Amino acid sequence: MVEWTDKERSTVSAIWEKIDIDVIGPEALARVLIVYPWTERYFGTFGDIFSATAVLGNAKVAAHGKVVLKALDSAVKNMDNIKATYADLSRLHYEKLSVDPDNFKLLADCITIAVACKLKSALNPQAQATWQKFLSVVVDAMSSQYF
Amino acid sequence: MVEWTDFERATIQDIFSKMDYEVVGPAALSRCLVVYPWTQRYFGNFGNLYNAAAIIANPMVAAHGKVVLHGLDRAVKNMDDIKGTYAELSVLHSEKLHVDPDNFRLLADCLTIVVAAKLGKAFTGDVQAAFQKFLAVVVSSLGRQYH
Repeated sequence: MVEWTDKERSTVSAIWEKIDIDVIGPEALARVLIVYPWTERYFGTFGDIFSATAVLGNAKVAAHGKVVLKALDSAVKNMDNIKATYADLSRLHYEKLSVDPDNFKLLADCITIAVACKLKSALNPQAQATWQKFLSVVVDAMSSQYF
Repeated sequence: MVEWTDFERATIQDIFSKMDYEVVGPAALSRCLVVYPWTQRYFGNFGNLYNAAAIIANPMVAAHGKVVLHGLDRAVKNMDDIKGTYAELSVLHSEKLHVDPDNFRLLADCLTIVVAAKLGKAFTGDVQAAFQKFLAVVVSSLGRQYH
């Protein structure tokens, strides 16, 4: 099981409280589509996502970004059992959505960058370390039902 | 050879011309040592690296951070031959310093976060893509002479 110090727990909660899911969600997903364009293949029904401008203006991208980031809430509220919390979602991404699990790391990186842009110096090195530890546990949990 | 669009060239020049190397260099290197603690093994003679506060305050870390960032200047000024530019540095890191080339990517990630935190909203998806592409070429060049 993952060990969390009190400081790490409070850091993750503090960062989460400062994040506006409706802003960071769309931004993180947009970044993924812009910076790692092969991810466009997962969103064939989203219409025009083939340029940065299109991605940033795309309502489906924004809506889906919110869905994805809202799901992170479950991990924030269940830090002691992230793996079980995401077992179903992991299976869904594997069996139905056929998402290459490498992409979870890409999204985690883009979430961290979006958070860094918003929090700036408040995301100091220790906070970054804790946040990245949290997201890597989430990424592992999302990959856990793959084989 | 790597192809650069006008936007990518302009973005890289813009970011580095506005960068305060004396601040960003130390910030990126100290983040690397805090967030990925195994990297401390390369700096055995730097004295106190026992916790985040010590690392951030360590003058040898700060000095070396500046050296590393100024090294990046060469790539900024030679975007059309980054591989050739870093051939010697790559040999040095492989044969003398014995640095695992994975670490180049870690430092590049930390630098990206420092720049994102500094630029805030200005670090858009397009800018992020250009910056990460630039750093990916640098990382690849530094790993090129390993065997």
